[in-house]
Amino acid sequence: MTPHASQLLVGTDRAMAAARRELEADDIETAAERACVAMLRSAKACLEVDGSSPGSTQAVCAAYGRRFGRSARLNSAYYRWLLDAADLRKASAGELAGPIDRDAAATAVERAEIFRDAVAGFIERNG
Amino acid sequence: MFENNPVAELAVGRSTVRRRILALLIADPAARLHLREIQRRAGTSPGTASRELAKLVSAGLIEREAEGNQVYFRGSASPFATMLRSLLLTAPTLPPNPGAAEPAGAHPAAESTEAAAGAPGEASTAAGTAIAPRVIRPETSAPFGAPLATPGGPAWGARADPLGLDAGATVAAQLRSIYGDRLRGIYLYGPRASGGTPPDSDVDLLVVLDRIERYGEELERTSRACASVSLELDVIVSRIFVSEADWRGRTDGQLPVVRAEAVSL
Repeated sequence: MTPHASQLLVGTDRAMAAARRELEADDIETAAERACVAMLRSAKACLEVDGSSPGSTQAVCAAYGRRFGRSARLNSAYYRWLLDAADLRKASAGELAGPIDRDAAATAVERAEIFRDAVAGFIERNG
Repeated sequence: MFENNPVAELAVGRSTVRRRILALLIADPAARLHLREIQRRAGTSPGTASRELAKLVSAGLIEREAEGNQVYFRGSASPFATMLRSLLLTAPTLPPNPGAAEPAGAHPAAESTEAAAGAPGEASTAAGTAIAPRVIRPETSAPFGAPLATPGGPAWGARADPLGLDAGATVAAQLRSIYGDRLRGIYLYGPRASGGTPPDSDVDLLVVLDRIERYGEELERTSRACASVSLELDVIVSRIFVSEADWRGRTDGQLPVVRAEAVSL
């Protein structure tokens, strides 16, 4: 595993811990935002190991889709989850849409955990 | 046709894709094609075709026309475009430079899908990944309140980005089938609606529903449609859900700004 991928996974774990804490405290907007950050960091770690280092949210989602969205290397549903998490974060900002519901935030947190574990496994096999 | 034409290189630069598009639209004054056809015939990805078309439109060599939910491109009838057409058609053609030429059938989109090797259920062709045909239902009128939907431009989506319109219309067709009567409107907003699109911008869609009880359920209902179109067109389709009451009445946040620029799909 590259040092940067390792750092990204540490960052993922921090974001996950914050997401769980905020969900517990019923701050569902922040929980959704942190869950999205965790998913993005996991995706970046995955891409890093795969030889790509995109920067912005859009670039990460696009690069992840190209490299993993249709491949059997990781479950293709993770790509959907990543896009859904980003859209939930956008809604949680409240400028356009909202309010978001607690179940949506809880689902995002749960998916971020599953994705994080899958990415860690992928990195272990390929990093 | 113009790939080895020195005048084309001087006039529009070295981009092979740009010259292929120019050949499709300028060489044949009767040609009137939509984005997907241009992309397919130029052997490139939707994103690249969209970017090159935008450059050619802003240079005044190509014109875009909206018709229902489709956007068509044709060679401009301007004196400059006419002059360029005759220059290109009479200029000598150089032999291809083997070091610079793209291999036959080279296709960025195909390369990107090949990167995701082993993709089940994806048929590829020499010109790129085959995309299932889809139906785009034209709107005969704005879903509700045309003044809210299209207040800004002289024509439908006149400034909107072709890839944004194409991706938006594709998702919109699927959302109509998912929501039926619950759907009150689908709008393209953000940079791809207002023009001047940065290359990696999302396709931002605003979906107006009769009501929204659980936001997560709407995300889940539309998850597959958005992800599959994002993958097919190599662009991120992002959606946001707004209730009809908010769309009509909310005056805070960004909604008033979005209303002003939104393009009804």
